[in-house]
Amino acid sequence: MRLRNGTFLTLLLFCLCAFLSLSWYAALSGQKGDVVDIYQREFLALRDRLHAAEQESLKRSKELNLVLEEIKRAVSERQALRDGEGNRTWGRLTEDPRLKPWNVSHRHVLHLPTVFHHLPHLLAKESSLQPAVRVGQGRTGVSVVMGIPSVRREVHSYLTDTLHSLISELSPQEKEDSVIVVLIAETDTQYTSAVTENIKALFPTEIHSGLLEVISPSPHFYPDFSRLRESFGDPKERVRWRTKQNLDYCFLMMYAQSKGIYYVQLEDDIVAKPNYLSTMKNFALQQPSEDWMILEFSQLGFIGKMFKSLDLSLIVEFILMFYRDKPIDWLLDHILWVKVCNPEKDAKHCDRQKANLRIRFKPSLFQHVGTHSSLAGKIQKLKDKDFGKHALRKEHVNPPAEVSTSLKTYQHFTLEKAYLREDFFWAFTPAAGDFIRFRFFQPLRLERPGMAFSLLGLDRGSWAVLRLTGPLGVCRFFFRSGNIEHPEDKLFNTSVEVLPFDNPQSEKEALQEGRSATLRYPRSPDGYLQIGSFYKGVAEGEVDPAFGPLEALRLSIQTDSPVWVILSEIFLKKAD
Amino acid sequence: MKTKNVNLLFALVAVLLFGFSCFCISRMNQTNNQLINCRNHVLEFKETMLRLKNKSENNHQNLVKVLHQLKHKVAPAKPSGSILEKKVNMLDQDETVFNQFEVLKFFLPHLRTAGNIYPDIAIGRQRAGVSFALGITTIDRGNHTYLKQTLTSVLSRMTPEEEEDSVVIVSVADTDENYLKSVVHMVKTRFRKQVQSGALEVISIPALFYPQTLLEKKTTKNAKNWQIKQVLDFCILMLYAQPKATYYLQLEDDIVAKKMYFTKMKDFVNSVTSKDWFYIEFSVLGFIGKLFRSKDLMDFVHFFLIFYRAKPIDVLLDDIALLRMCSFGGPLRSCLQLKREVRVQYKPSLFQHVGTHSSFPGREQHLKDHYY
Repeated sequence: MRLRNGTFLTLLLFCLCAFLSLSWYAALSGQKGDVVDIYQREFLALRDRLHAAEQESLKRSKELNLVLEEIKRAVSERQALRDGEGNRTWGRLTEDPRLKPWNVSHRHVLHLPTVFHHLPHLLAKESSLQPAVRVGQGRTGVSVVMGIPSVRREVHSYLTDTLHSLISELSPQEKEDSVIVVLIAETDTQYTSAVTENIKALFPTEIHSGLLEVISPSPHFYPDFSRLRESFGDPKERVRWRTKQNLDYCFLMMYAQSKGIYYVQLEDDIVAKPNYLSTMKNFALQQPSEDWMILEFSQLGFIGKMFKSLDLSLIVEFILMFYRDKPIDWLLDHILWVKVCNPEKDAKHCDRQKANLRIRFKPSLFQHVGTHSSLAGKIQKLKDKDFGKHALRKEHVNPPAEVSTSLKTYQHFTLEKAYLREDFFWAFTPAAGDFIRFRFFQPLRLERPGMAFSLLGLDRGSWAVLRLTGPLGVCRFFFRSGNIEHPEDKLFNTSVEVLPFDNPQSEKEALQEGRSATLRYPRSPDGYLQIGSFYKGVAEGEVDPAFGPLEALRLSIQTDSPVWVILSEIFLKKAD
Repeated sequence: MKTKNVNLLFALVAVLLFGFSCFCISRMNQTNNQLINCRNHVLEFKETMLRLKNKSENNHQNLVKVLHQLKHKVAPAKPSGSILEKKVNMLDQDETVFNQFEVLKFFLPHLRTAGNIYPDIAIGRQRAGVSFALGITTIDRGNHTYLKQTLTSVLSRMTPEEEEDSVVIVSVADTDENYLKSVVHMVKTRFRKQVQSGALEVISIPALFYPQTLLEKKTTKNAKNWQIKQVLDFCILMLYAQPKATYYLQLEDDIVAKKMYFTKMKDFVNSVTSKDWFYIEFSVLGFIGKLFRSKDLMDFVHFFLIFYRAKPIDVLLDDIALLRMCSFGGPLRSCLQLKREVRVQYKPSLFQHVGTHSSFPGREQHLKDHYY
């Protein structure tokens, strides 16, 4: 009897637990599978969507506020005008000088509508794109705008020296047709005020005339730099420095974009050559096509880079897309790379294509003078090696000529480049009889004379020569051999010779024609007249006008030379 | 003895079942907590949406007030149109002044004098808030047309739930009106159900979007201009689709899709390990089967528009991936091979190219995706 009772109780408990377990399990599996997973997925998607909607709403709200502010300001201005002068018409409202600040800010904010996409933190503050400091007349419509970003340096500031150098080399006309914009890329109000007041004190005339402007970005322009991620092995401080530099350059370019035709980026620790502005402008205008993107007037960093203002918006857009990832000189090269390079082709093809977009002018127009970098603790001793070699001479373009030489050229230092003043000429050891020749016309040989030539008395079957371009009058020459790196590679015992166009065949004919002048110069067997020679590596002199137009000019090596030869400067002045 | 053993066995099993029951109860509690969490999230979302709604209404009221004030004050002005007055008129006509396509005016200067720019919507029910938007651009290929086959393949291989959570957008990028009419007619007759539900839209791009040189008849035979126009066509479609969905998938009009392609795509997107992915390739050919996050899509569009004259769009896609992740010093191509987590490829491919007549006149191409 007891055993049966125990079994019954056990069975009862078993059934009860089984029932409970099955019930709970059914409820659990049902709810978990259906509810939790679906809800979780839906919530995540919904949250993403909501976040995107919120961002979009913020953006729209920002844009709406800008438009509303614009309308309110216009309405209030109109009200003031109506109160003041009743007869002013609506159409002239936009011409009123009092609307200039509004116009300027309107243009700055709206000219790059994508800026909020890349810098969403700008939505938080309406004044984030307004310069915190603005000194100047807001000049527009100039040929060249020069932008100078300046950050605080711990030891020495070169900014005012740079401004002195730039302004002193401008002619009065150039001062009317250019703008220099200084960007003080600091948010410390005390510092920016001090620098601004210093510039005002030193350059009051230039600021008043509109040549010089000073701006500084709003503190709200910059994102939270503490959240940048490291990339490409750069330490955090370096990433922060170069990210800020990207933003500084973008701010400056956005401000300067609508002011002129060309924009030149400089740095705040440079010295400029005389006539640098007209040289840059002429070089830009002389480009055979409009395909170029960058003209480089210095090889260092970002000094002397010229852009078309029309291209600046797209360049800024590109920099803002990648401003957290890479420094600005890389980004600039990347633009060229995307434009013309194809990974399927080799690097040489790529470099040749990029050279069409990024054209170097030599000799350089700017020299870097600062040794204290804006990256704290970094001392840089970079000097532009192309600056100063020709400091005594104005920029010059040699007359067109066909250049040829018997010397063997070393590497890429060709005679053509030297004649075009792009580089120097470097050749292996010259021997007696070697030459360097500059021919000033191109003959075209006709195989058979026409009737006209026969009538002129030419023999039948003889060759006639037509000259496509005329001979050239040259009044002065200057040649320098050797250079700073290799001063011993000079020309010795080398003569400068000319071939007049009307070349007497012999002294006898010269006597008959009464040309006594040519008798004073030694004559080579092939008719060249020696007018000068190299002394200590330099040959310089004038060409006797009695020669008249010249067919060619050449350097003739008289004896074997023990060293290689560098021709670092070729200067031929055309007779007027 | 036997009876005792049986009793012990019963008791043991009962204890185990009780334990299992307790385990189920604790799991139920966990689930309840999760549900409470979800409810809190819902309340939070509700609050945020309410805030957004209030902000939007506030903006609307501000705008209406200022417009009313402005109308009242400007009414006596002379009708000579100043820029500001034109702007006011534009505000008056259409309150949605700022739309996605205003960005085109920045990149395409010829559009700056145009008013409100937006594609023409031939078929559509303004569907938005879905997970996936699928974009297909189409151009007249003469006697050969693959669009119907492509749409059949894409739409028939979605489940009804997937169709509800997506939108397929056909962009007619041909200036020939007859082609647009034929597409609209085909879509309305063949895909009536999807048109009714809003799962299928047809838009067309007005001719004014293009620079004039791209529209001259003799230049449509120019391969370079065809390539330039294709970049613009893709960008315009992307701009239209970007606000509609969480993800955007670019297709072409001459493909077939695998069975269950949508499910596989969805599962892959949810399970991909790298959270930094830039785009996912569900096919290796050209621009077929490229998936982007909608929030990243504007970056791609801006990049394409900066360089739309320089290169074809599939090469530009390669370039932006290279630039995003590679340092300049090393060889760019070799760097890309190391960055598979950024440019994710799904294999086997979900789409195959079937057309042999290119949309460029006179050209045939026989490219096939070997991973299909």
